[in-house]
Amino acid sequence: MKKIFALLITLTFLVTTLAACSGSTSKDAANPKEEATKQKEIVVILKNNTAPFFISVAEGAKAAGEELGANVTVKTPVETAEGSGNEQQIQLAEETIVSKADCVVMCPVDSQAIIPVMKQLKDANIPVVNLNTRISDNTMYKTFVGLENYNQGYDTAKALFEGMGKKGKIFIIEGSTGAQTSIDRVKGALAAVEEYPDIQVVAQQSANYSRAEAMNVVQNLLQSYPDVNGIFCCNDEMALGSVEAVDAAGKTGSILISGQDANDDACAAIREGKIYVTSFGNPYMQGYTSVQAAIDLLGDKEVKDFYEVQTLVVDKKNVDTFKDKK
Amino acid sequence: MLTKKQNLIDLLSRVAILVVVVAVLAIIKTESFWTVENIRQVVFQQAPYTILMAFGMSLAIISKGIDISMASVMVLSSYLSAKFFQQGNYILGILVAAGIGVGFGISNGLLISKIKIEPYIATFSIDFIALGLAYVVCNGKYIYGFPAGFRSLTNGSLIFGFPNIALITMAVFVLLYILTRKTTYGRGLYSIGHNKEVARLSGMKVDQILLSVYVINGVLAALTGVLYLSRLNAADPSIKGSLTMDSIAAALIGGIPFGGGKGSVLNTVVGALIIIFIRNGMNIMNISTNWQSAVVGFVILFSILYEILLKKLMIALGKKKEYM
Repeated sequence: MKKIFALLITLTFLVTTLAACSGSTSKDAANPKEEATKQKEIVVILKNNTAPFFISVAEGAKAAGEELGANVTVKTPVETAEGSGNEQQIQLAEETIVSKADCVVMCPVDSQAIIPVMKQLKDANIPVVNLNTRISDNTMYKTFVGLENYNQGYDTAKALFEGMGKKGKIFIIEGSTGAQTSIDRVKGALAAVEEYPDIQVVAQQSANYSRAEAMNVVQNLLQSYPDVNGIFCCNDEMALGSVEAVDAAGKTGSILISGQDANDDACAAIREGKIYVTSFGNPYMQGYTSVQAAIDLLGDKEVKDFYEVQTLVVDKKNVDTFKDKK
Repeated sequence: MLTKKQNLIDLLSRVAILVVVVAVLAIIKTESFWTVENIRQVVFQQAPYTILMAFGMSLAIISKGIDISMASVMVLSSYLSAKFFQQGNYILGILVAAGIGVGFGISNGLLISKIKIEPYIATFSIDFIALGLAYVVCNGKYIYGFPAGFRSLTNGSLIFGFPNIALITMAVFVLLYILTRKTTYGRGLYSIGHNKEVARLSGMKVDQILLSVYVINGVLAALTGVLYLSRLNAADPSIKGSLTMDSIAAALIGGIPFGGGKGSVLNTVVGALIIIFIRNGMNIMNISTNWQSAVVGFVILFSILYEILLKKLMIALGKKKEYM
C-alpha cells in the first residue's frame, strides 16, 4: 500500500514538472484548425518568453499572423537568463526542418553559434528572417528586422551626457557577458564617450541584466567612486537596481541614470525623476514587422535588406506620449 | 559528537579565514573597502539575504541532506505575496508568503523522509517546479512600487545604527541557534546527520525532524523573498541570482561539511560573511563580475581541502573524535 502511495505521489510530481516545463516552450498556434486554403507556417524563435521585451515581440508577431493571414508559432528556450538557451534554439531550429516550416524568424541568443543550424535551414530551402540580433553571417538570412543596439546605446548615452552637462564621471553597467545586445549597446555608448572629452568612464562592470545584481554592484562601486555623476545601464532592469542603490546612498537626484527598453517600471521611474532617460525598442513592432517581412518574402514580394524599426529616446518630456508613435 | 573545545577550535579557524580575507581587502583598497560605510553596508544590508538562505542550507546539510529549492521558493513566494504588500495588506501578504514556503517545505520533507528520495533529487525537482510556476505567474509583468511602511522593513531602523533587516536576521539567528544547540530537537538533528538509522533505532522521530528541517527552510526562503521585495521595491525573478551556490559555499567554508552532523549557525554566519566580502571586494577592485563565480567555486573547493587538513591536524594533535 505504501509503495503504491509512493508511486502515485512521484508520478504526480513528475506530471506537474512536465506540465510546468512544457508551459515554457509553449506552442501557441494562431489558427489551430485545419483550413482548406493552406496558411503559411511561420515559426518565430525568440531568446526567451519571460522578459517583458520578448513577450511584447511575441504578441506583435502573433497579431501580424492573425491580421495578415499566416500560421505563426512562437518558440523559445526554457532557460531564461539572457545569454543562455543557445543549445535549445539550435534544437528548435532543427525541428522546423522536420516540421517543414515555410519560413523561420530567428532572434539568436548567440550570433555566431547559430550559424551552422542556419546553414541547415538554407540547405533545406527554408528562408530566414533575422530579428533583433544580427546573425554574424549575412548570407544566412534574407532580411534583417530590428533596430541597431549600437544606435540605441549611442543615442541614450548622448542624451545622458547632455543631461549631465557634458562632463562628469560615469559607470557603465553591462548586461550578461557574451550577450550581443550588451556588446553593441556598450560599443555605442563608448563611441558617444569619444565625442565628449569631459566625460570619463571610471568603472565598467556586468550585472547580468539583473535588477538585484545591479543594486549590489552599484552599491559597491559607489564606495570606490562616491563622486560619480552618471550611470549608463544596458537595460531598464539594471537601471532600476541602480536607482535603489543610489537611493540607499542618499544620492537621488545627483546621479543621472539611463536604461534601455522603456518598460513600465522604468517609465514610472522617469516620471518620478529617478531615471533620466531610456530608449524604446518597440518590441511589439519588431515582432509584427518580422512576420510581415516573412509573409512578403514567401509571397515573392520585393523585400528590403533591412527593416529598421524606429527606436526612440524616452525621457521626462515624452514618457507619456512615446507609445503613440508606432 | 564533537566536544565543545573542538567545535570552538574549528569555528575559530573559520573566523581566521574571514579575518584574512577582510585584512587583504583592507590593505589593497583601504579608502573604499575599509570604511565604516562599506562594512556596515555589506554586513547589514547585503549579507542578510545570503545569511538567511545559508541558515536553511546549513540545517539541511547538517541533517546530511541539501536543499536546492530554496532560491526558487523564495522567488515564487515573493511574487505571489507582492500584490498584498503593495496594497498594504500585510497580514495576508505574510500568510501567502509563509504558506508557499511551508507548502513547498512539506513537499520536500515528505519526498525525503517518507518516500525516501535523495534530498538532492527531491529538492532539485521542487526547485524546477517552483521556478517554473513563478515565471507562469509573473508572465513578464514585474510588480513595482511598495509603500514606505513596507520598505522600512529593510531600510528603517528601530534601533539606532542597525537597519531592521539586520535586526530580523539577528533574531532568526538567535532562534535557530537555541533550536539547534539547546534543545532535544537539535540533538536529534545532529544525530540524524551522524547516522540516520542509529538515530531512528534510539527512538528519535527521524521522519518528523527531517520534515521540519525542510519546512523551516521553506519559511526562511519565504522570509528572504519578502525582504527582497522591500529592498528592491519590486518583485523580480532575477533575485534568484547565485543564492543557491552562495549558500552552499557559505555553509562549506563556514565549517559545515557535507558529511553532516557537524557545525552550527555560527559557522554559517562566518561563512556567509566570507563569501559576501569576497564579492564586495571584487566589485570595489573593479574586477569583472564574471570572475566572482569562479572565485566562489574555488572557495568551495578550498573549504573541502581545508576541512581535510583540519581533520589531519586534529588527529595529529592526538585528540579522538567522531568525524563522518
